[in-house]
Amino acid sequence: MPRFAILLALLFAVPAVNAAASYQLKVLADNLSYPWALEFLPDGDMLLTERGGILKRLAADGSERFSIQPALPDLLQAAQAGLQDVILTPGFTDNNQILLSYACGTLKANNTCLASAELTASGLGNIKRIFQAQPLKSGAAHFGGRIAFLPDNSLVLTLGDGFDYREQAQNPANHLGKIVRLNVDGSVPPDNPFADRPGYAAEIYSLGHRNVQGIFYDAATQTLYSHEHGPRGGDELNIINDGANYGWPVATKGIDYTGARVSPYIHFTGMQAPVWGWTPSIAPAGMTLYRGELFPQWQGNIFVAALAAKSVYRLDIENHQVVHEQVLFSELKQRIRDVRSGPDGALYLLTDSDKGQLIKVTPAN
Amino acid sequence: MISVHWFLLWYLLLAVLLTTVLACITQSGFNLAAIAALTGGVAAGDIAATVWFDLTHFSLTYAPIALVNLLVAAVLLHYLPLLRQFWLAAVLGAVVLYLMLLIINTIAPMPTLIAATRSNGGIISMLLCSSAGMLGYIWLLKRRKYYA
Repeated sequence: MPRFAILLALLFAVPAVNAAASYQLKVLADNLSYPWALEFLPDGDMLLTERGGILKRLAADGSERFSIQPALPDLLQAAQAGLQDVILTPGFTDNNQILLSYACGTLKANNTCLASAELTASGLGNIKRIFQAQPLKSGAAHFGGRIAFLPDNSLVLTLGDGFDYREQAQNPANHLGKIVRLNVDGSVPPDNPFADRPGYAAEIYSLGHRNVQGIFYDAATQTLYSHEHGPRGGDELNIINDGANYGWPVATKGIDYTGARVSPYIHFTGMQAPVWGWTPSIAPAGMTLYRGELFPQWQGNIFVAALAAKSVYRLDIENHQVVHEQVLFSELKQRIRDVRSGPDGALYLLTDSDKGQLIKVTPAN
Repeated sequence: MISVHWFLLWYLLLAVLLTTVLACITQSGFNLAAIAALTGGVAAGDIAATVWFDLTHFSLTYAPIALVNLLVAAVLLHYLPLLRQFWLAAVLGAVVLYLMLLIINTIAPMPTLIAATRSNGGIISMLLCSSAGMLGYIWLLKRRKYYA
């Protein structure tokens, strides 16, 4: 009987030990002030944004090359407003051009902006605002702000509903609660789904979103994934199709923070249902697709950074469906703002606080 | 020797209950109207289910707000006899709630905590719920001849 008990204990204990030892965490940089996004440069360096308006260039070991406050036109810093995403343009190796998303305007009249700039040895040059979401609204909440490039070198920029303006996510005449598709110079691609339709904003790629803070394009499956914050419950993982309506606030599994029901409908005809969701909310704030070599078992998995859940969610995808979910890095006990898959095969995390960290995840062995 | 009039507390709680129920129905009404405008209408069953949901969920958030709102107004009534008229009590309840909403929205991380109060019509409706509670409270006290 004791042998049987020991055998049982070993059976259950061994996977736990393996799981615990399958990766190691290394802090590359700390004392970051609410870091928001990370982007990898071809030479192995990284660009890192802080919500307060700081852009840092870090070496692969986390040491700082420069830390600047770019002169972004009308940058707004308050609550959720500030500097957000950074991404290299497809032509970066030729022209050093990057894009930055940020909240712009005043507390009474603001929205999300997109700026282009040239990365130089000591900072940024030639900063130009190329897009400002319309209309300008009041309050410093729900800006979206994530950027991804599509195979045709156009980009998608995620936007929020501004919190108080949630019904506008269904209004096709403006950008609130939308994902917009733009050319790298801010112009509108002529093949946008509503480019020629009267009463529609030409920039719209999809509508019916609440606050989208994660997006990437998977070239292997030709799929654009995004996630968005629900209110209390109703966080969603979506596959974005051009011209589709994702339902907010008509169709949602979430309720208001006050407990009030936002809508009687969880699904609604003509509106896309999410492929995965989280209730209660995890507050998804960034995501990546893992195509690295250091973790073969994670190949093709989606990683979602979670603020409220203080962890990262690993999603195993088969045929565009989530077949398995694993919660990782909860031992950090930190709100996770972003997760990125590095060119070296490592996973990189940004923790969300005034003493935020950049953490590198590599295999234990 | 402090004399405690338990009926004051009892009447206040009744007023809080009235205000909370009215506020929940108001909240449901504004949310449903917004959804109906987007969908072309909401079925009666969905309306009833939403009102019931808000009565059993939103009430947990709103009842403490209504309690503080009416308690402050009741204390002012107690110490300021000039306010002990129906219309003044109604205005008092509304003004105290309005100030509370300003404070709540300043403190809360979101721009506007209570969705119904995103519009002027919604704010006025919620203030009227508070006024109704205060009217009920002073009516009970006048009926008992505690207030002249």
